[in-house]
Amino acid sequence: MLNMQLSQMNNLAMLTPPSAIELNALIPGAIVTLVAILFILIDVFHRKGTPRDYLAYFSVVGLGVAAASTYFLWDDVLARPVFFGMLYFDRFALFFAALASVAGGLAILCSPAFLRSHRMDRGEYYLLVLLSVVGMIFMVAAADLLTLFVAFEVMSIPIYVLAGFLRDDGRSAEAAMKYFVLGAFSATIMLYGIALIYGATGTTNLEFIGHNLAYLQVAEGVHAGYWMALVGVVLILSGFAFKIAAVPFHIWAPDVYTGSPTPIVGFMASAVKAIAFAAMLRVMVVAFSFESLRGGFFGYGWIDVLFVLAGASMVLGNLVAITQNNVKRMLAYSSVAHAGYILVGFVAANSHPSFFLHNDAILFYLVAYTFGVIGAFGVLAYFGRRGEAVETYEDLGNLGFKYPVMGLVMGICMFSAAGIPPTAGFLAKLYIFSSAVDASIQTGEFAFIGLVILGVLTSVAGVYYYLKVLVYMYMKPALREFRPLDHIGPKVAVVACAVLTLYLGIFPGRALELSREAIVDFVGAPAAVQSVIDQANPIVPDFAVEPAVVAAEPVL
Amino acid sequence: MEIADYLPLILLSVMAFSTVAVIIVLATFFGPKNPTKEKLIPYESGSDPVGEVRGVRFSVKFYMVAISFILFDLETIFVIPWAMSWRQSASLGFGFYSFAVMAIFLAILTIGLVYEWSQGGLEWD
Repeated sequence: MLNMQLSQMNNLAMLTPPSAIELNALIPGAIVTLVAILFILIDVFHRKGTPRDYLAYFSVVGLGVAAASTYFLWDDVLARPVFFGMLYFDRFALFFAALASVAGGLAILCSPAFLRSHRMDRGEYYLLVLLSVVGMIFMVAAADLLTLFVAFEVMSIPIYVLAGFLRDDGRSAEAAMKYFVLGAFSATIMLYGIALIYGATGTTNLEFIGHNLAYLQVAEGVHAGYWMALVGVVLILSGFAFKIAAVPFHIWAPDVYTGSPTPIVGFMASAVKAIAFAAMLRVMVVAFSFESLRGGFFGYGWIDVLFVLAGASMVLGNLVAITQNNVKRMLAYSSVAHAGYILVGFVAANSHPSFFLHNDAILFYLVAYTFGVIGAFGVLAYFGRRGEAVETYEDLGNLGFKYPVMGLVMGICMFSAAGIPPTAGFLAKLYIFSSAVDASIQTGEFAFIGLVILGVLTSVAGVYYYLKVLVYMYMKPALREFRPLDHIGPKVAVVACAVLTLYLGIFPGRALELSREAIVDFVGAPAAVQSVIDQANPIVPDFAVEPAVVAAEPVL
Repeated sequence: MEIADYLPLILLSVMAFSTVAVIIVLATFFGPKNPTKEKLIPYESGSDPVGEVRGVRFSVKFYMVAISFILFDLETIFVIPWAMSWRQSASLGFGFYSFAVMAIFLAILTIGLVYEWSQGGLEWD
């Protein structure tokens, strides 16, 4: 019955336009797409041999406009899926659209001088970042597994190309090859999961999947399709776990982070991870929060899987990062560890519908982490001149005193990553861990507190290698001379990152409010979660009373 | 699930296997055979099945042509169903809308073509 309605909807979708208010859902994505298309046209007429800085600034302005558009759309959101059940247009999607645009803009700002020094000053670089941001914007908004997967690929493929952008550099080629082969493999696994879910439930629409899963458990036992759905959930989870670099799926991260162009690593470590987390949250909450999918070791179903991934990521990420000598490799393992911390919040907030609102801690963490990590990689990109790039700890010697601004920025970013006040990283960790403790107290489940203890212990280990960077920058002599890439772009970007990291650490109010608003306006949640959201949001906003737009009657 | 539910599947497999078997057997007995050296190598498209791989270099232009082909092939895949259902859409009163949507799609593809052209993707030498 539901599927019949759905297919009728899809038939109409081919023939009739969506209503005008639904088109608002496209605005952030459309702005970035338009910028990318204009970019191609400008790049075609670019005079050879002249610098392409103006193209970088053009992309940054375009991404800035896209981020600003989310501010103006903030009150125009709709409480139902748009485009015939293909996209959501809610504050949750807008929040991450803004985050992806800002992260893309900051990464582009760090790039022009870096690319010129590598003799790779090509327009395609910025174009690929723009296209990746388009994929990210639509991935968070996806209301259907197919939209999700297409957006997932639109996000990933430009990143594969960008990883190998320095094609004269063997390590960059290696990074691209590893990332592409493993990434394509994980995307295939995810697609297989989607196929199994489609086979078990007969639909790819997230809400209908959640609805149809209930029919898989018949009175006398479990329908065969139930096991198929379970396998599908695990496969989809592993696709996401690859993108967030959680532990058994993290093998690619160190090599790819070491070889890829440094500004892109910042983008990869922040935006891709944040968007993968956001999409995972949407898929898992909307489609797979059905009670019978719960079960297993701790009785929380797929939450148990993430529970193990969280613990393993924190332990392995932090312990292996200690032994690294290359700063980029260290940051790669640290990003694995951060995926673990965020998963702690994810596990706690989604273990029971009543904790759903704790997800705002994840959103805040992702914002704080984004600025911290782009700042750190921005500093490395600043010292990233071809042939004399800062790579190991020893290379950092005395840089802090010689380049005070960069030293300060690196210090703030490292303090934030280690979780030391007054930076954003401290508050983010505090919120994540306190939400897990809350969940533990309310359910009486010791496992969550155990995870928090593990998280705190491992982040103490993390302090060692983050502060090691500062020890070398300020207390060790310089072994080599480095000429930084003197360009206004990376300076502006890293200073902005440092200022935002401090700002979020000292005045987190506005950002927390925004993440709370984003999580309260989460469309598509099943009834159990929706009632929690409604309790937090008792005033009926304007958009909810608007009558649902009915598709035009066919004229015969 | 009963065994009987699998009956169509079993029948289908039996049919598929037997058809292939019959065709192979008939071809072995009745087919004309005049083998040459070229005919006996596994791939008949001109590539050497045995030998050094690293020595053989393909021009990147082949990939450019293949990608351009896929692009315009996909364009056809989208345009033909659109053309088939446009009349239906027009009868609902949304003819211009459907036209505009396809026009946007084709415009984006055309910009891609301009880009490819300017980057020398269409030149063979």
